[in-house]
Amino acid sequence: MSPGPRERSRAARHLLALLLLALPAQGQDGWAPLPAPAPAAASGPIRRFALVAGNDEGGSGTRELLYARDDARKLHAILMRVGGVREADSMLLLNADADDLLTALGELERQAKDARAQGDRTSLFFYYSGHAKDGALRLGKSKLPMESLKARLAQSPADMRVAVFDACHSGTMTRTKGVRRAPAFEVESDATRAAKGLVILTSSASDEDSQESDAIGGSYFSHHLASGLLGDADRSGDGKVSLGEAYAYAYERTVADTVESAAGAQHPTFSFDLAGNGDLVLTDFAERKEGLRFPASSPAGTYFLVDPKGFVVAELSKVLGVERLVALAPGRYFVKRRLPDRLRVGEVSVSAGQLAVLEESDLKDVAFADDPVKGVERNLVYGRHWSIGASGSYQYVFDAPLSRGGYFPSSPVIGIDTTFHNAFGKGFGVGIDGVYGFANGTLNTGVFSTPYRYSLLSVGSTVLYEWPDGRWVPYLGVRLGLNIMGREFPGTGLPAQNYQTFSPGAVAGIKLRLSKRFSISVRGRLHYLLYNVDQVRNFGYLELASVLNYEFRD
Amino acid sequence: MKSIALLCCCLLIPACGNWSNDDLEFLNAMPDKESLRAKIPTGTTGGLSGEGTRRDALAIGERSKLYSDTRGASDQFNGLLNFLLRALDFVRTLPPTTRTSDSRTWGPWDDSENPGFQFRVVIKKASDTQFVYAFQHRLKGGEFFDTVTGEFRPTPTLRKGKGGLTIHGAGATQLKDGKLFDTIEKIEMAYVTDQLPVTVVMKMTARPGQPLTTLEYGYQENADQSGGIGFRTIGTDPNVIQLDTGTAWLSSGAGYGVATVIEGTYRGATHFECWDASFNTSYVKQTWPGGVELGDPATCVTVSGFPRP
Repeated sequence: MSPGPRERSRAARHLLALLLLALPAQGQDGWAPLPAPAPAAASGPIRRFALVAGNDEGGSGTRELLYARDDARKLHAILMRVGGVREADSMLLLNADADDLLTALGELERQAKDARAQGDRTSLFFYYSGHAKDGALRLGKSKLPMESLKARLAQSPADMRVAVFDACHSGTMTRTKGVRRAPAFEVESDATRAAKGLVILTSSASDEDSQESDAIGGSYFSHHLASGLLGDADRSGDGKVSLGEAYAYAYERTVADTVESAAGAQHPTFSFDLAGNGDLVLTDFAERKEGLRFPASSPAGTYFLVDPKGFVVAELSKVLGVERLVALAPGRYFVKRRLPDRLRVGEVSVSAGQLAVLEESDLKDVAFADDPVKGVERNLVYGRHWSIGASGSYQYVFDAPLSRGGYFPSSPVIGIDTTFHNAFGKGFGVGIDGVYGFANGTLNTGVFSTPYRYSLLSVGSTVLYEWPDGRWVPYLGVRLGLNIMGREFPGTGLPAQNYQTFSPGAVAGIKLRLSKRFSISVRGRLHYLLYNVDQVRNFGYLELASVLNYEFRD
Repeated sequence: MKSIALLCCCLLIPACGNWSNDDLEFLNAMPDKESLRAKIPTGTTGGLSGEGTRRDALAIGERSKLYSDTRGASDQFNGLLNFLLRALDFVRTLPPTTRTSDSRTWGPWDDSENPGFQFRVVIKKASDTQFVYAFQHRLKGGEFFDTVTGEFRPTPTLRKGKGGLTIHGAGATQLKDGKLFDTIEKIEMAYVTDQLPVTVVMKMTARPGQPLTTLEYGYQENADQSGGIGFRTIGTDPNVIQLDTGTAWLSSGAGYGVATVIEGTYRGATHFECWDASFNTSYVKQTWPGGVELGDPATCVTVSGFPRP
């Protein structure tokens, strides 16, 4: 019988402890925990630097990621709030290229060098979420070879460097030295010599993909890393999350979540090149005392903390009899705990500088079907999917009425459309549509008046961006329509007339989700309409519509 | 900048069609065949099927000869209209070939009815209240000549107004189906269709040497669908130099007609004839020596605007 995950975890921790104890001492200065628990003689003020990068784009041969930038934002916010990193000492790069990344790294290295010159001990936290392929990070169209980045980090002037790579095949970074595909490692917590060197964590092994999850709205690894840093990884209960705790937590959760996925289990890895030892504290929320406290009496189970937009901000595995703290940012959250036959849900509000307490009595039982946050679950929002819609609208043409010499009448319009959501990345959709309008009226040419029948057929394609994070989904887009208009003058002997033109325009609207698949929206289209027969005239039209949508989502 | 210009071109090029208020104004100037057509009652049974078998002798209760002659003449007039204005039906289906601020031109196109010829229709806006038009033909490569010219003064009511047109025999006779005009120098028409009674008058002038030098035609249509037609022929026959013929009818079909020699040896000779709603003769009176009077004059109807003798 092969050992289970818990046994493997324990064995690996012991192995890592032995390895770290065996490391040769190479420096006088060392890494200090936050706040530094090491003896005063061996430690002074520590200045923490952070470079956090997220890039959804990976250039040719890659498909745009949905959550890389979100993951970067999330990690950056955690480091700012509970990671001891000052805003001036951090950089957040979103969809930046390789040159920008190296430039930012150089700037932080320069600052770290200056800090060291002033006697500060320094650390550099490097985080990257994005594409990696063929041994290089893919930042948009640019490439950054992993080996050169690793060499650069190894030479970085900061005393301690922690690099986290959440990318496919990122295990390449740890393949050559000190690599461990193991559930945990430990740095001796009672060490007296602060560590110096480089630790690299990767989200997957060198031959594995790193997977994103629509259900959690991020990559598995970064989500669990973030959740751990907020408190769930604090196994020791000291109000601090060390690097070892964070990695062990992220490893266990990532493997557990991906083991049954179509892409197969994803195994985070780590490597280290350390001198000295000491506990590497990444987040400290013991003194800040801001967040949500779970009393010791709270029932055991996994708690999901969901923000109002439906993002699972953090998870907590609660054990009965142990008080736990999650360092949530101020705000309102849904709390959800899954029971065998129902959900237990509630709402809490975290105020700045205060610890909210979750009382079991604040929660209530609901059926799975009544999950109050399911309607905005990310998997229902960010996954690529189709929708169809039927609309009724009125098209108001910016022209004189035909009864006073105008060319095109305003008219009611009905239409259908189909949209492929998140086609080009999170929020970006493309759609095609067709509308038909009709009107009767009287045309006044200035010489005579005559009745007419008007018809409009417009087919168009729209590229839009949605903000699908909540129940209300606003969207903006551009549309190019081909308008085919006709009018007849029955019983007059006058010939039917027609006109065709391409009509560019803008689209804006807001959608209200009624259920998992149905939604209604109010939409406006503002279009330019060229007329060039009698003379060149620049018209426009505004189309206000109400739309009933059905989305094909699992 | 280059890409913006290219985008603009892409957006402009596909804009096309015949959606034009101005075109409608020009088209409105062209004669409406239906308004100009002579509308003589025909009954519900198509009762003129026996036109070709009418008898020479007058007889009460037989199909009225004068009615039949009038109907035949109006049919010929309507046929002439169709010939003259047939190009309109074609032109109305197509957008103008050339547009200027004060004109529209359709064509030139090859005339399938007249091989070797091309034709075009030109309408010009002479003023805010007057349009002039011309149907023109030419031998391919040659100069255009007029076959029909006209003018129209529109009113706020679609295709109603006052107008006139002239068929130019010199031009029309060059066409394959214009041989009728070998003996006709020109035909002039004038019409008023924007008010009742609708009136259409026509004057046909023959070429020199023809036995009939002038034919004048007048048509009037009243609001109650009663109406009348008048013909005046001027010829070289010394007995009947000028003959005026007029017929009038009610909407029921009943009517009367009178033919009078105005100038010539038989000056003053009159033939008066009434018919009933079935177009059968109910009364005849001839005023020349040997003329007859048959039937009851009380059967004759009265049509407003067309006094009986």
